[in-house]
Amino acid sequence: MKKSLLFIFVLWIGYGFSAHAQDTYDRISIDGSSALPVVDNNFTHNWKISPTAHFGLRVNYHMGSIQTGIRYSRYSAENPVYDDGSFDSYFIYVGWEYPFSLTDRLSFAPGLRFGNNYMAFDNPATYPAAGVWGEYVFDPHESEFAYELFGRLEYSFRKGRWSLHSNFSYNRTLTYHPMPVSMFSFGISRTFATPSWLKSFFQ
Amino acid sequence: MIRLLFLVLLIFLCSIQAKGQNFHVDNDSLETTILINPNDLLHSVSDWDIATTDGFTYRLNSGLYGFYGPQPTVYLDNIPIDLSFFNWQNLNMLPVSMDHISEITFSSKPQVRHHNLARAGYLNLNTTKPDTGFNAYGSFAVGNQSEDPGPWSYDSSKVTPNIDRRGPHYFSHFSYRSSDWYTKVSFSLRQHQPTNLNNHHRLGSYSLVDGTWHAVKTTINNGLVEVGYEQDKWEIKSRVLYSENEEYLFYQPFGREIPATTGYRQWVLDGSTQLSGTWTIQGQYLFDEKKIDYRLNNKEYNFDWSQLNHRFSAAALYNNNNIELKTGGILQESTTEGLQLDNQQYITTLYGEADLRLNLNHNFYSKLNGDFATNQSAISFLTGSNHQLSDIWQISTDLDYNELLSFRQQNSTYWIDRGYDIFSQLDIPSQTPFSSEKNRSFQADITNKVDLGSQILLTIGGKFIHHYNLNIPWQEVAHDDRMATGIYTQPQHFEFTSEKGLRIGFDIKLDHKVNNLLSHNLKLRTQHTLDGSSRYGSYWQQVSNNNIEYKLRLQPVSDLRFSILGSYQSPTKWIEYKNLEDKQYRSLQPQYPILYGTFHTETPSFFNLHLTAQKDFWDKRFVTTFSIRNLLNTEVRYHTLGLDKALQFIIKASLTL
Repeated sequence: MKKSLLFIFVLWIGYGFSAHAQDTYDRISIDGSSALPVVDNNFTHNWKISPTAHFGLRVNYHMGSIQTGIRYSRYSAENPVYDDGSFDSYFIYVGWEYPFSLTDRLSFAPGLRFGNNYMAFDNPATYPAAGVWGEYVFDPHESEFAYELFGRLEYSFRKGRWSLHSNFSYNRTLTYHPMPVSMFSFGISRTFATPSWLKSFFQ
Repeated sequence: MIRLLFLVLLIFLCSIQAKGQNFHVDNDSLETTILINPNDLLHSVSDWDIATTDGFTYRLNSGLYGFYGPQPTVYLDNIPIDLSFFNWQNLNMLPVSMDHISEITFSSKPQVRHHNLARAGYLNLNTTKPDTGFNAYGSFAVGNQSEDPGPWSYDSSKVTPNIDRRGPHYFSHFSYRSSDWYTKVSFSLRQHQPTNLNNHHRLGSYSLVDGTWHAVKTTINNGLVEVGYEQDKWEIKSRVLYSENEEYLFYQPFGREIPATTGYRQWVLDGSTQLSGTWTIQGQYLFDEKKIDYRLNNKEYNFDWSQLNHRFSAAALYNNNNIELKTGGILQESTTEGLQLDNQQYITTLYGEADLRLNLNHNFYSKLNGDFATNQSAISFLTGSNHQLSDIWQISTDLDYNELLSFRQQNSTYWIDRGYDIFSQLDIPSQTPFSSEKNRSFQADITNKVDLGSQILLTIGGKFIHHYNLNIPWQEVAHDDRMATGIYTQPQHFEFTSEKGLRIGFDIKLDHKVNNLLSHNLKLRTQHTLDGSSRYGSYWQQVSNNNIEYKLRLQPVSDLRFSILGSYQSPTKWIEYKNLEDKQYRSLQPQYPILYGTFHTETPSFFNLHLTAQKDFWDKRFVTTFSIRNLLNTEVRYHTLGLDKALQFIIKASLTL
């Protein structure tokens, strides 16, 4: 059974590469969206996440589409223990998604993103408390690997250039104590034929 | 004098060329796909074992000397670069980008190679020749190791410091080439932060100086300038190179790291001319300087060691259809200074090589070199043959007798015997006299290659090593139980003794090229101690008995590549640290909450899995690489006091114009 599934998977991959090879890099989409956290956990109890701003690019590849983008989030310390612990977060990623057509205009695309979560804290932490001998001042900047699983629902308007999309994502930053964040986003996309110079770049 | 003349005569009569033991890796192979930093080169040579305490500085075992012996010589474009500081080396000190490596060759055999005695084998990196006209290249790489403490956490009992960063690495390269000559210039800056609980507490204990905590990180900057001129019959090139590393040198007689700045400078003039269709003359002058200097620390430890070398070398090659002969000599003047030490030596090396091709199916080769210092000499002799026994079966054999000058052991005991007073500074008691014997060994190798058809190649090999004398430095450290100090190890009686023993090893390799898009290979390697003294047995337990490696390369489309590297290593045991067994260590004082770990003499077996994806843009001008190391997040540890390499990721982008 496992071998059969593996064989079908290989065929599907091979079909995907051959069937879509001619479309590669032909279309590019620019996404803009904003998101809010939707699932509470220990992390979100202590840090309040403001609405995020996201900018991304997608281009159709041999199978599905590859993408890159950046998402800005503001994390404000809710717990008085972390008065100085507010920070800005910039998640810079590359990713891949594979769209399935649900109707002529509606599609669903599951995908994966991975990248770096750059964090800039308002204040550097110190240990022991400030003024004590041997004070250790932490670097207020941090970066850590993060990955994100997401599903995108996209509705295209008549000419297919503009579309609306909503996205549910689960993002996990792999610090020593991981930072799990689930978000729901809503945004708009503009799709156009890839300019020849940009197509040359992708190739 | 008579002995010298006899040796010279012998060299000319019995010379060798060990072509059968050299291996190479092409530019477009899997190995070069996974190379992001020069230290990743260690993944290119599956025949060698590695040990590291910080993940950046390594000791290699190429089979003959173990981790505490001389290291394989690293060449860049066939010119040696000596980055071995008391036999620890950090290949990230090489001023080269992995994107410019066109070919990797290596050998585990001691040999004279391109004007230099490679005492434990060699690793040569050939870089691509500059394109005609002006070219520029830049790259950036950065990474993280997961599970290291982040900057803040949301539980007041989990406030942790920010220490988990790898890189960034910057590299820039410029070149210009006309029809006859070229020039190239490279600079790089590479930074790392040792972050692991098992070594950060030791390194961090040095960093509180005058009430200020200084960054616990290593910083490497280096560069080179090369100018070359080439014509049909002759070529000449000159290279200036420097490299400096602010690091923590793990000093084995001390049992822990010492903050140090290691530096290397080199100027070389290298040329060759073809006198006729059969004769070629080669020459080289090389000046280099190695230094281990002071780096800020609260113990005021200072190696204060430096070595300056001038090396003159000349060689003649004769090559016709059936026979290839080579002979030459190297004269080295070496001046070494530091802590009461002032030593000057002259070492002469004479060598000869011959390769006789009987016909298309059989060839014989042999090699002899004599290494002469003021009070000691060392002879090495190798002979071997290759035989194509059938259309699918090739067999190769080697017999190798090898001696090593004490000068070339490159560990500190040689200099301590000549006045270097580092042991007094570090309060290391030692049992003298140290062994003055030179290392002597005999090795026999046999390799079978069988073409199984359908692009499958099977290689089966075996080796036997008899160490008549193997000098082993040994330090069974005591445990310091004052955890807050971050010291943990106290040196006890250091010994340097000559040991005897027998080793044996086998390996099996399967290479399968499915098609141009997919290739993979599997290698199994086992090595064991058959007999020997007690210390000999303890020493070789540092090296794993069994290794398995699997590599896969997939290129589904022309601009996208994937590679997988999986490796298994059996447990190793570091008897020198047996007094630390089951003792606790803890994180550095300013880190909160305080984390605890436990020392173990034995490093566990592990399976390490790397995934790498590489995407080209703009006709390969812009290349992005994403690599995940230790995907399964297993405990990957290469030294009992070393870091546990958890899941890591590395991103690299490069631009060529």
